[in-house]
Amino acid sequence: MSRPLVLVLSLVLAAPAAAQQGVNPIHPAFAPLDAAGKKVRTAEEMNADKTCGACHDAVYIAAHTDHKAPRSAATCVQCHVSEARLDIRPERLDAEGKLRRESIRIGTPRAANCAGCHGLVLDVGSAVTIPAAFEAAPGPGRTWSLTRGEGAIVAAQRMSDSFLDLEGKESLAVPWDVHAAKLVDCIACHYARNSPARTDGKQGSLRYLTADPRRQTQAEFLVRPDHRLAEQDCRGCHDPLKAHAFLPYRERHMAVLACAVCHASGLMGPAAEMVDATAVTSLGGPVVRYRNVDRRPGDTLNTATIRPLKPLLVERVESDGVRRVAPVNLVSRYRWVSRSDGADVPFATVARAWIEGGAYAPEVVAAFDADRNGRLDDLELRLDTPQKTDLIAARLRALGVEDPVVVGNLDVHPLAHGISTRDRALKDCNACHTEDSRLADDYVVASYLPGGSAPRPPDGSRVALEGLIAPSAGGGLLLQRDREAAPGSLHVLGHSRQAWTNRVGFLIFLAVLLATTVHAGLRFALRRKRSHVEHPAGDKEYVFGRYERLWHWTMALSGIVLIATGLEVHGTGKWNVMDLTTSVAIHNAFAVVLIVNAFLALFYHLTTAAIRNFIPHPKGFLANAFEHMTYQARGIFYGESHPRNAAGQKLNPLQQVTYLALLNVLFPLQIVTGALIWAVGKLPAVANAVGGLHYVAPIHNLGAWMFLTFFVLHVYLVSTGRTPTDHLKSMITGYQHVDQDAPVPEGAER
Amino acid sequence: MTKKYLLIGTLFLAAAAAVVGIAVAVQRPPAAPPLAPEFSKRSRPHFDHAPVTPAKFDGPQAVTRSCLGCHPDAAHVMKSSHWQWLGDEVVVPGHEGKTRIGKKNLLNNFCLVNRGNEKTCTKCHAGYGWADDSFDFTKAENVDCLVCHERTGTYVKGMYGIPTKETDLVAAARSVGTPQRENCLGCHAYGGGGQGVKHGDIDSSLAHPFDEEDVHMGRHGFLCVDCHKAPDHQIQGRSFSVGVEDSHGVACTDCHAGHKHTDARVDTHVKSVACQTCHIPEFAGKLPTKAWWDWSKAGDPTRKDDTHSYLKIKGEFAYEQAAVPEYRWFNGTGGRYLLGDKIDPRKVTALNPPLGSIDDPKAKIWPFKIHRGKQPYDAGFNYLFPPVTGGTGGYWTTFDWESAFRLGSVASKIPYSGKYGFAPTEMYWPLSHMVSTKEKALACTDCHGEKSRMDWKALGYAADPIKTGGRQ
Repeated sequence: MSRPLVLVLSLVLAAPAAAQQGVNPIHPAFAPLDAAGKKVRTAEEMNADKTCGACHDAVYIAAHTDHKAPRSAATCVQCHVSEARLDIRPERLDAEGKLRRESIRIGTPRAANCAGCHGLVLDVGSAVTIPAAFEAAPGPGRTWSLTRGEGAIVAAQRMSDSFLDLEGKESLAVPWDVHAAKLVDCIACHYARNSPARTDGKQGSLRYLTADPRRQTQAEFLVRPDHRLAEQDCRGCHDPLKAHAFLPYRERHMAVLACAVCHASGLMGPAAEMVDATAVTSLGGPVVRYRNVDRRPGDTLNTATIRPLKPLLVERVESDGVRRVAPVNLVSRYRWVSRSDGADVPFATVARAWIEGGAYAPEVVAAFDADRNGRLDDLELRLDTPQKTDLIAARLRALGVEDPVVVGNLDVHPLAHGISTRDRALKDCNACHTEDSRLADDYVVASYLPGGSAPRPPDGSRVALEGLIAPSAGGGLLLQRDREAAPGSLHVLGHSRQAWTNRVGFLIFLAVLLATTVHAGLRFALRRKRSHVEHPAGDKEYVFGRYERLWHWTMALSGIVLIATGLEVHGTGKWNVMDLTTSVAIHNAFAVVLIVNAFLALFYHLTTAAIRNFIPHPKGFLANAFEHMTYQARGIFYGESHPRNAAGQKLNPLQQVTYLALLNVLFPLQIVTGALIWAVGKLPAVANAVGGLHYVAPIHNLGAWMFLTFFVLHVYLVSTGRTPTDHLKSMITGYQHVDQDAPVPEGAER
Repeated sequence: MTKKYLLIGTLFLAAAAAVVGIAVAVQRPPAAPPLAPEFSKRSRPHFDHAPVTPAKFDGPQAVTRSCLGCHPDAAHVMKSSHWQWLGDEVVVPGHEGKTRIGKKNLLNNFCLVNRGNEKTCTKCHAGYGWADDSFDFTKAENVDCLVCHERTGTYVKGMYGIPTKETDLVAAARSVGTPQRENCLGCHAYGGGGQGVKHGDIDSSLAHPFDEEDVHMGRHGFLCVDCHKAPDHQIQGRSFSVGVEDSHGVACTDCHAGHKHTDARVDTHVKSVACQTCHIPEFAGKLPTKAWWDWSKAGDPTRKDDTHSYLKIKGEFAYEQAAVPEYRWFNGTGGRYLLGDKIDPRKVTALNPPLGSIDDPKAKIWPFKIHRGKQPYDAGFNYLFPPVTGGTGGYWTTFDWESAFRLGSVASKIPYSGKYGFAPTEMYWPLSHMVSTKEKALACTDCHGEKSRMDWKALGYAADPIKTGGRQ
């Protein structure tokens, strides 16, 4: 065969690989070496450290990498070479033993390289399917952490075009991963920290430096690249405050929430709940329970229905060092460990303990086949009784494993990949701002405990698993969380309850409501018995000026709207008259109306001296107050006339006391606390200075109950005039009938 | 009383102020821009012509006379290119003066030329009996009303555009109404002598397309005439194969004016990329379209006839299906090969090269079906030649190019040197139909990154503009 033909043929044969890694035109030709530094002629003999280390500083790289044993078994070839394999064959080598140019498919890591261990990370143009290897025996370092751990599939393809069976698939015409779809590849965020191509590279901890201008040259970098890969988070590229215009409390949301809370709220990759490598499936892999896969017997992951993954929301230290609420998935991973040396039992050995000659050992089938159908289904493959555990342990001992025990670890996978477009982001306020907020969801840690051992939570994790890990029905574990709290002790409007203030406020409100009802009932019941005193409709007198009526009704309107919208915010999800955003906006708008109105009224009262009506007259105050109390407690039932007010005053002493408290205590309190709640979003420092929402919100809540209580009392007392509607009419027309025996009208509802 | 009104007025004002306050506070995103004005599917009742249709017609012209009796203005269709097969006077780039060009006098690289081949070509003329230059274009009764307006689906035009004997003219006349998709497709899907030969984006599957194939006609039930409106029978639209400019054309923005995409990055494309480029990800999705036609292979009696690969009368073909368009800069105008223009037979001659380049601010990147082929030319005078094929004594009956050239020389009044050959040519068909749903529109990775459907270098970019930046 002629040389050109060979070349053409080799290019044709290499076509699939070309999708991954092209021929590198600048990488120098090199001779593959073995561990001893001798030239070799096959890929199997080659030692990557020696071969690559001839030019690159392999010792430096080994000391500066996240991908090191035992966590990872990655070699240079695995990450930098097409198909993770250097094509070394005698015919690929030249006379000097150097690899020919066309076989040097070496470059920066590609999606397919990362996919080798991390999960479904696909090159552009590939259709998403779940490969058989995904469920096969685990390889070294092959955790599928992205897909099994996070539920992420990183692909440019639209979900609706993929081959997987997804819930609501027809509406998912958005890419699996918007970054992949927009040509942001793995190394765009996970780059070598000292790469001179990255302008944000910074060494040291000098706070006044944002970048380090003294870079390595490209040549130096190629010799000593720092393989502790960057973990660029969303904020490294995105400024969340420049988007999200629709969101109230934007700054607050961005300060306390990781982007992924909303943007990874329904990942569609199969996410594991448990990877149980103590048992072996018929496919020869560990038993994996998925959180979001509906799988009938015989279904592969490609045919089973995948639902959106609902993650656990916890407080996490993000890569910028800030604590934020972030979504995670918990995966409990179980394996056999030999207690004598603490080493993992190789999965191949475990497989031999289960399977003999291509089928489950009869002894194993007898012990595990719960439904006696002669087959072992995935649900039966679990060490949920001591007998089963002992059986497998005994079989492992027979295979030479010393003192095997089951050990479980609880891995926390923060969700950061597989972010789809903004259309799929969580936009439903009610997801968090309700009583049954997803911030307080319980979370299944494990639906059963292999070998009866609880999984060990990670040490030194950046995640705080708040709550109680409690046994669940079925022998598993459940993370139970305080129904009224939220991660990181956040106060979440509509979700957080201020136990005692809320209760006290509600009780006071209830008491007053009850009292007025009883009072009204008595008035009604006794209306026939009472001595029938006629209250002649005397002359009409103009008692409420135009402005007084205007500010009264403005106050009434804004007060009612504030209480209504406040209740809506407080009980979001329960009433659902309007959405949270609208309630908050209306609440804020009417708060402004109320405050402006209050100040104008204050100005009016001060300048016209009408304020005197509100100031108790010391002379005879107590006696007058007592007289009014007696009237309300007794006289009113017998048709007595209202006691007189102090000379020249519109308000009676009881009203004066009430309004003094209302206007000087409750009003300022609500205005200040309300402003502080608002300030949490805009000026967090101010609100934090007084303890943040934690203290402010309960006070505002209690004040709101007091207002509601006042409102009930006020409306009721309006009906205690000469006739039940007399006072109401007077506040509309301004005119009031004057009792003949009470020349100074009582008249005095605000 | 005044006070009362004042009070009520003030309260009303306060309430209004509050409402305004709320409206300002609640920042609703602006409403989506209006879509096409007649977006919804309409049913079109049409006057039932059955009661006013005569019981018998003696010939198709009688039908037309009958139509004109009530619709005298319909004769204005005679001003249109559907009748004249010629456009208005235009300057053809590279040629002096103004000329009228159209199907009547242009060459293509399908059935080559109308002149001399009227017998079969004028089957699709909206008239009756165009056999040669003696056809009277001023005679209104020769207009074929039925081909566009009848709805029986049984109306078949035969040689010279005269209905076949079997056609029931009375039934056809009784059924008339607004032109349906089938009326237009009857000719436009079969141009070039068969299903999907010419246009890559028009074939008879558009009579009942599914949503992804054509969102307008599929999902929204559009008729052709919803976009190709025909005020006074002057049908809007411009076929680039027979025109050199885009006046009187139909554009996406006629309806989708000022449309904004949800991603601002996509919007930056709009000044350089035609709507069609992203929204017509592929053409000929359901039925194949002709991509290659080699006349030089015609006449081989040993080869087996097959519509999609070889016909003795026509030569060798290649069809493509679900094809990816080719992309070129296009500013809406083009050049045109006119009869007699010199060619270099060693090079590919573009019969209608789209004009525009990366430096032309009016040009955008457009999707094209490019039909390539080899067609007869005069090897002595070096121009493409209009032989007689379908006409009487033409190549399709004699299989003799020599006589076909001589007949063509007479029909088209162009000298023949006596030497012939076959020269490579190509024709550009900008795609505007078969607009898919937005879910199927191109995404970033279709053009950017390693697997690109764009040849960036050929388009004039240094490299993928996602890395080097777009044109300024």
